[in-house]
Amino acid sequence: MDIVKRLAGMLKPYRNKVAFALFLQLLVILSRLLAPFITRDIVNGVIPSRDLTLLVPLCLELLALVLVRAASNYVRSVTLERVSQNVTYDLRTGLYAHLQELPYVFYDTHRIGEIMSRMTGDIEGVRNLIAGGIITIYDNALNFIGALIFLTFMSWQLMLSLLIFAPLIAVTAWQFNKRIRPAFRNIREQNATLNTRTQENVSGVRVVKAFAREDYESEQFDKDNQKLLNLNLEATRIWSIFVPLMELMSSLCTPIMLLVGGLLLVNGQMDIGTLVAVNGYVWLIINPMRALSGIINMAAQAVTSAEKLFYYQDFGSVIREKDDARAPEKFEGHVEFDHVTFSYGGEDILTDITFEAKPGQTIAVMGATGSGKSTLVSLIGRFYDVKSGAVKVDGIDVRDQQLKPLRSHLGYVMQETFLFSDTLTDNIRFGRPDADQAAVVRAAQVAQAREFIDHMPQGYETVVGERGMGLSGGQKQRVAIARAVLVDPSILIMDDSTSAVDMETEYLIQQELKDVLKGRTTFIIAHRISSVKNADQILVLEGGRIAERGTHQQLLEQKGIYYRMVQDQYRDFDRFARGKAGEA
Amino acid sequence: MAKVLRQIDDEAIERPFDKSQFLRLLSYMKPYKGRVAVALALMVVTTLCSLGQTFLLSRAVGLLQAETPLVPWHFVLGMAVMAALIALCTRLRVRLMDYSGRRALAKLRQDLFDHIQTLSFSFFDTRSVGKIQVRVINDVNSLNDLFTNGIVNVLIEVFMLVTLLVIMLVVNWKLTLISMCIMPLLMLIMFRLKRMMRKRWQVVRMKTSNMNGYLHESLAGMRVTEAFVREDENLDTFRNVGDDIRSSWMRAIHINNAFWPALDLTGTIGTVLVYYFGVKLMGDAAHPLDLANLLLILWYLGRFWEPLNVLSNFYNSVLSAMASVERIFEIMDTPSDIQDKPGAQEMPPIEGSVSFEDVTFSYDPEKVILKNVSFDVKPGQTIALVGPTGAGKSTVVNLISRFYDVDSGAVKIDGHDIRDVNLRSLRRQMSVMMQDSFIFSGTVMDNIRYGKLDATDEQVMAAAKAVHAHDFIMQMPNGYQTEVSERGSSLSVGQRQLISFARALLNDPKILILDEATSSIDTHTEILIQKALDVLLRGRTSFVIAHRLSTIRNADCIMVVQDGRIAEAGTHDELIQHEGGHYKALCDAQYRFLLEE
Repeated sequence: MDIVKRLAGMLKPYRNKVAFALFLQLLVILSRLLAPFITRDIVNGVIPSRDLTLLVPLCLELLALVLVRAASNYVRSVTLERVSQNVTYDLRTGLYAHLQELPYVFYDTHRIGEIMSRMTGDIEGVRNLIAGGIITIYDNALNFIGALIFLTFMSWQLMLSLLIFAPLIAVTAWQFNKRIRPAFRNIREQNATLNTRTQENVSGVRVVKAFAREDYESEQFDKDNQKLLNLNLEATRIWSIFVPLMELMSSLCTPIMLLVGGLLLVNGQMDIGTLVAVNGYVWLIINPMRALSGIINMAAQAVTSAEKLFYYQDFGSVIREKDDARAPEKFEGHVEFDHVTFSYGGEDILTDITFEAKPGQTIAVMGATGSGKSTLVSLIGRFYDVKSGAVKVDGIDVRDQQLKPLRSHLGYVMQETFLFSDTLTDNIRFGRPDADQAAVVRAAQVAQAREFIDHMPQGYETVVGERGMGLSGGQKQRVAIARAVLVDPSILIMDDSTSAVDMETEYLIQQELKDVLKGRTTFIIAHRISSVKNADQILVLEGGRIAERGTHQQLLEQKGIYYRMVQDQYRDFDRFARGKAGEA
Repeated sequence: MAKVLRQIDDEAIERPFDKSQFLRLLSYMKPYKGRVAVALALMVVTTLCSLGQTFLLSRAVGLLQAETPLVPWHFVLGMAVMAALIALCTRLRVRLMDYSGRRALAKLRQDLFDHIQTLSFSFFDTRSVGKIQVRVINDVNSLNDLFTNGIVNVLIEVFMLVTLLVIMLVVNWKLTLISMCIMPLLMLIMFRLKRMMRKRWQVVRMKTSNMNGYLHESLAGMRVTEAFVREDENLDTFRNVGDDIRSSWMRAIHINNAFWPALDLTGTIGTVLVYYFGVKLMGDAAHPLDLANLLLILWYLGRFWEPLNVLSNFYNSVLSAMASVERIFEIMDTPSDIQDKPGAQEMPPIEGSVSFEDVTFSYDPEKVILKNVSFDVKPGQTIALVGPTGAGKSTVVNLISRFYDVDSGAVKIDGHDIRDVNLRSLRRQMSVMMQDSFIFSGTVMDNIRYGKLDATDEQVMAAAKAVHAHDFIMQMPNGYQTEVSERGSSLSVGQRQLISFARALLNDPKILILDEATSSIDTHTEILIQKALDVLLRGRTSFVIAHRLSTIRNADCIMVVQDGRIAEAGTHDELIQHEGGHYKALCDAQYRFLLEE
């Protein structure tokens, strides 16, 4: 009930318009119900006497009725559409704004496909209810009741005979809906399966061709294709049982009415005009019966959709600025972790992390996959909140800071590179939309992206991203680095951000960064010893704890995890270098 | 994303009618022409019954209106029987048409998919996955209505129109002609109004798909947006997009919602005309008219709009179907540029010698990628290809498995020009592994078995053990039966690579091609991969686009590819001696990086 209330709440700003629309619809229904009376009078009064003077006013009445009906109908439907569009707009932009506030946790736990179907299908469900649903319910109910009343006026016997028959139609329609819905759902799912199969076949075309598995792929596709065919045929089978049956029952109403009416007429209890006029009411009674199950279904779906939408609305931004949030006077890049423990889904990911990064220092974080490296650096921009302890940037706990100033002083190169379907220029200046072209080129230079961009046919105007030109992994990473550099951050975070770049290029990037980032704090996550060995402090994580810390030299002397990593990585290199030395 | 979205979907929504393509499409219905004929006959019965019901009703009214009214028993019975006949015929007809149409579509889809399997990389290089997907799924689906209903319905509705008109004319031609006054109005609504409606809804659809595109991307990049504090700009853009949709929607609604009121109005005008002139005609001695016939004409007139509606919808659906048809046939007409020669022989079991003889190759004629490349590789050798990005390393390996054909020169395996042998028999004896190891949706077991479809579970596990993938697979929730997928996969880069190694090993290739991943692999997995490589490379001719020092060092021959040529070739020890050589420069660069303090 709560949901219905909230749905009604969305309509509140437009209640006058809705009331107006309902009033207009009342006019529509009344004019519909009145028309058969005119028919009766024509058949009874005019036809036997063939008196045109009697006919003309009746015809004018008929025309007047249709004018009122057509005009009200038009204005009503356009009004409601506007309301529904406004509600949809409010709902959609409101949700979008809310989604942008939601923390990373939300995006870790919800798939994009799912959010998309909320933002499209479910919003459409709510829109449907408002644009069509409300009127359909109102219209059918009033038509049915009105027709029953008016019919009773004309002949209660006919009314009864129709009323006995009508529920049968409603029951059949109900049964039909119950059976066809799962059938349609299966079809939708099978379509999705086929879609995935095609998608994988094309994305994996190199594997398919390399193993010469074309025939196998065709066979697999054929199976799914046949299954879709059978599901479709099954849905048709259900349709072909119920729909003709409903049609049959509906069209039997006319002969029944004719029979009962005929009997009454022969007994002198009815006139011919009434019998013809009643014909106009039959559909007003049958149609609501046929529509009933559809309406219930639509309303139920809209409520489910609304429920899901409200769930998103209620997904509180766990990460909220405090009312008295402040910003440091100067962002210098001082970062301090004070006994930080972070847990996710009830499991401690980081435990008791304490360290300090002074402005201008480089901190390297190492460790196996899943040891908590990425989580650690994402705490700096407060993309997650700690469970206990505190993360301080420039002396202030990040939870006491204003979020936007804090984040705009970060340059964040994420592990998974994401570029938008936009030009390279706009991608690079994503964090500073007002940057000029020279700044963009400079950032590209630092990230060693300049050369390949210059080689592209449209240079910086090349559209990349999902819908643009495909870049290699290494190229994407370099654009992402440029994007972070352009922000001119006080803290730069590079989360495994050169993994797809070859060693020579990585070296060049590091050289350039050295100059640009003088005085800025840098966090580097990497697997290559060569990438981290010059850091001021190296943190080695194991199982969410700092297992070792120190400079390259200090850690080598400890002969622990880091030392073993160095040995593993340089074992080859020693042999390699020996070959080199042999030649010298 | 600052700029408001461009129209990315450059695909036509409609196409003018093209007879030859339409006929080609219809040919898919050919096997079912018997069924279609029966369906047509059933529809004729349905139409006649449906008109018959109204006819009987009007006759019944005539009976009841008489001086001594009679209960119209036989008419009631007749109407009931006709109703039953309609139900029966509809049921049979729908099944027949659906059976035919759906099957024809399934065949079309399969043909399309099968054809795509034969196409070479040059096809896939120029098209996005999404676009190909849309052809196979959405474009084919969109033809459904045309196949199962459209064509047959049109014939029947024309039949219905003619029948209606004939009966009306026979009953009273004068009143019929008068009632036809509403036809111009009706036509205007059905064709002009609907045309406008269609155009405006197209705009709405386009804007909506733009919004969805924006939304999807915006969600995918939400982390970046939050990290770079771009929320406000994005919200503005989104508001604009929303405004855009709303106003285009209302534009469409203004026309759309006029349809029924206009129809209502036209119908009533017709009714009034029939009443007025009908009553007038009742006194006309030359064309006497009674109540029954007046009602018949009135009721039949009320049925005119429906067939017209069907016809106008059909016209629209043909236009949009033509767009889909064109896209589907465009793919089906794309020839594969890599095909077996007629009578190509099976490739005999490969020994493993590979030679390039004066090979020149380019993807596009403007830019030559490989220039007169020649080399010989003996069976069992490991070749490391090194060189700067874009120099042509990948091209060399792509030519060995004949993913592309050379412009001039020849690639030979065991002395056979690879263009002379059966393509699949050639590729079955090789394995190619890319940097981004592709994982299919399915279990780990299925993914490895892809290398040899009839392998037993034991063989799969043996292969996984050999490449040191067994341990981590066993640690997964369901071991080998764990479901993995390409997207949202829980596997790390290194683990994916190990799985693809197992897949390749199971295939037991004679020639192995490998593009090594650069890094992003933790030290532990890295060690496993190196061990796995030793197993994999043993006893086969291998080409490795190498980044790992150990691979380079252990190779039997290192080829430095630069500017489309093999600049240097030899063992590590040989090349390192070559002062001023490319390889030496490369080594020095890495050396500096690794050891410099």
